[in-house]
Amino acid sequence: MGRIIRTKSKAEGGITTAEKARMDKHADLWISRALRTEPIEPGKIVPAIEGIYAAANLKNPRVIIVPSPLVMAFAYGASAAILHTGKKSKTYAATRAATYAATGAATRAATDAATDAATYAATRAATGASIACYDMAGELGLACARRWWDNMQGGNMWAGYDGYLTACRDILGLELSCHNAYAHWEQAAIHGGFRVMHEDFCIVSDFPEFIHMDAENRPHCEDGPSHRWRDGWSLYHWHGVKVPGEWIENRETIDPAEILKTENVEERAAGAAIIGWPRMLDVLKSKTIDKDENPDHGELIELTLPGLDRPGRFLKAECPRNGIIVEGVPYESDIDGSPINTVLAAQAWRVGETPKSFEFPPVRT
Amino acid sequence: MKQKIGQQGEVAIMKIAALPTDIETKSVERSKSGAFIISHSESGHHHVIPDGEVMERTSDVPAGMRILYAILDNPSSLRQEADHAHENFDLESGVYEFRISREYDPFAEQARIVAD
Repeated sequence: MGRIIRTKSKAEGGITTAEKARMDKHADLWISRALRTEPIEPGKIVPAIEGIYAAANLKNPRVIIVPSPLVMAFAYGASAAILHTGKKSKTYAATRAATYAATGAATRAATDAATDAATYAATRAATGASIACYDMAGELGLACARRWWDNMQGGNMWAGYDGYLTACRDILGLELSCHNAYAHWEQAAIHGGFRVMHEDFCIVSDFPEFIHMDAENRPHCEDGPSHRWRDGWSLYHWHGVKVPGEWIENRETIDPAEILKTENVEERAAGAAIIGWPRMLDVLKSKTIDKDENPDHGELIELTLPGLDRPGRFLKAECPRNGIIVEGVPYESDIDGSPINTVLAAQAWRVGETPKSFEFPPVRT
Repeated sequence: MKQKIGQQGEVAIMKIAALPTDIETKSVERSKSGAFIISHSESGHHHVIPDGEVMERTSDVPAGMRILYAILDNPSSLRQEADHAHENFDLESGVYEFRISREYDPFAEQARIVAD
């Protein structure tokens, strides 16, 4: 690390301990913004968006707030397609399309959300927005909607970069000429979700109503969506891997063979874990490494997942309540570095013991 | 003295002579019934102890595991809050260590590398 330099236009030489402590708190602040679940506040997002346009010397746009990124995508699709067709007064039509697609879907979603299950509301929101998109812009509108990410900005979902930029300003003391204009972008990152921007209008998504995560802060939920927006539109994740909703919602009945058909190997591995290794035994190649006479103690097996080179090791045993359990173990114990080649070693690893110190429990309930 | 006396689902139960010294601990979440949650379940089927003094160890715990201690002045039991529950495991008064078994996903990291 070189000599620490701090001026209004330069920050070099690494960071001090005090700056590191402030940056940790600053990171926490932006993480909390990225995970915001309180509803969007028009009184705060609209001025932020108008500020961005003003910084670009553009007139105030019509700011359309939508309940979810899905509705935003269809509203964007309709407006993009109309702009592309080159009709007269196309800007007006595009603005109208964006508004109609957004408000139509939002109204239907709000009505349905009040009376129906969340998944149904999600379907209706998607249907409402997609129908509005098709009504206004036909097949091209739907095609544009599918490419919504070509023209989107992340809002609070891009908090990582805004955390970095503001740390340089607020902690390292940079005062740059671009900071005045950036302040509006920062406000939009605090007060809005995903957005798409056009010269005459800007579509901004609300925040999710909940986000569930695992102990490592990856999006995750075992029995429902990891994210859900207020119109019911949802995303599903398994320890950070995005998976189809039906794998979680219908995990008891999904055919294990369906999981293996998935092209993405990361998704395939997540799917296998979701429906459970006992059910995957029927479709995966299995090899016994060690077997104890007592079924409570179990059998150490290797399973091969198509697409991955190395088999995984699993302990297969009987549980008094749950029947056959199949749980993964590593090849080597982190307790004493010994290989896990036996049932005893696998059982010891599960409870953080060495094979030498481990004893099987005399009673299991 | 540490004696493994049983297992209820994923919870290994050890009777110990006294609480280990030089460890760091934190308080333990309670279930809707007010019992101490020994092992948490997303579906609400927690393994719990209704009374005593319960704490979770936070120092020198193997990755992915949880270790908890209970000091019971009176007999109690480890229970599962579920309709179709594991049988209760009766506990005499004394000091106990609970080790919540861990799992490893042999494919997650491999799959992530392949996907990258």
